[in-house]
Amino acid sequence: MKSAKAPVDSQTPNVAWTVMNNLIAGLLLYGGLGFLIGYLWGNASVGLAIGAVFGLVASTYLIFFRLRNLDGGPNTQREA
Amino acid sequence: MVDLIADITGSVGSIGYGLAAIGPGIGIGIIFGNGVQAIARQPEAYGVIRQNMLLGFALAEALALLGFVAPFVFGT
Amino acid sequence: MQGAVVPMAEIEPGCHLGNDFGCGFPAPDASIFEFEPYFGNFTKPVILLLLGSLIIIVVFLLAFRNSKLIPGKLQSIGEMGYLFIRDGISREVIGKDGDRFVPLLFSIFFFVWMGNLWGIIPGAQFPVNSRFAFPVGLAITVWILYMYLGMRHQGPIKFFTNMMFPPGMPKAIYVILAPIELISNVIVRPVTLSIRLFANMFAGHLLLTVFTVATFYLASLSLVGIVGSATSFLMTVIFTAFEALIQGLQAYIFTLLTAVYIAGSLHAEH
Repeated sequence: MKSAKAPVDSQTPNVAWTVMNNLIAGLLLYGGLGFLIGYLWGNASVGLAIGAVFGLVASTYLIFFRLRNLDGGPNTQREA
Repeated sequence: MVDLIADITGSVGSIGYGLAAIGPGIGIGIIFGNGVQAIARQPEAYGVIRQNMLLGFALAEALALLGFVAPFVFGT
Repeated sequence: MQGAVVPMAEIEPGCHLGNDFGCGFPAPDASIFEFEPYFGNFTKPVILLLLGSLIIIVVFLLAFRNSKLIPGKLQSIGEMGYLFIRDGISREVIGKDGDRFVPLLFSIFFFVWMGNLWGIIPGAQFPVNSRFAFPVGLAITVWILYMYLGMRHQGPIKFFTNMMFPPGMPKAIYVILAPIELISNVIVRPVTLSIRLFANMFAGHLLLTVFTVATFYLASLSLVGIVGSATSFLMTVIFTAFEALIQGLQAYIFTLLTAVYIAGSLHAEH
């Protein structure tokens, strides 16, 4: 059964969940690192806080740079 | 000494996270709602709109995840 | 609150809002997801899982047995289900050479959806995927699949290199961002895949339980309680409809993301 072909966008759920996965991963990685460093140096919760913020900022940076070169975005090379 | 009228026992951190998730929830709804409306108005600008929509989503979601970590930072 | 079933006997005639008895609202907590086995080691989720699988197998076996060129009624429905997966998910995301994964995606979609549907079918109102082990098993299967496909299709070293260093970034920040990419693709992907399905089903079941218990609890008061009970019953009906939507949607998203991960392993991003 073929219906009229509407353009299906299948990449946006992928990109949206990739964004969220990157945020969580950055938070976990650098939050964990910050917690470890803070634990060794005395104040564990301060280390966790600094690491979490740094991880979130780094993930946002990554997402921004990756979204700049997304397919279909304004930076896509047009076929001449 | 003041008599306690109301008290919260148990996990206050989860209450904190629940309150912290209200704002980003509304924010993400507004972002994607306006994004879908903009795509409906001008479908050929789809690439630009999607890029900015996802960037705004990342920033709003970052706050919600920060609210998830905060109970462990300030926790008992 | 102990036990597997909401003990209606605990809501005595004197229990209502603002009393001095101490029998307040028996709020459902996580213990409503625990079950005693019926026989041997078979608890209710396991029985529902096996029954659901049996139903899917029997229905699609009957639909595609003796398949004719002009389809009959059951074959039409079976074909609609199959073409939904093949055209709507697999061909859009993976492309034509992903046809060998269509049976897997088909099975995952109907398995997850049938497991979710048990949450609103009367008599067995328990969504199977609200026990954490079932989505985790599915997510581990998908994880093994896309890791193995990526390493076999692109070579083991190249797979990780393509994943960790997406092109088009200033070179200096690769040191900070490559570990984030690695953890995001290898560890966080199956975690979010399973937690998304589990949390949606858990929350939906808990919500329906709260509204149902509130219907019975509020009815024990005089007139205000009856109004509250009727409102709670209406909310139960509305949320059952909402839950039906969410169940289908979660099954669709699980299958779509499985297809996306397979596509990401087969065709490397460049």
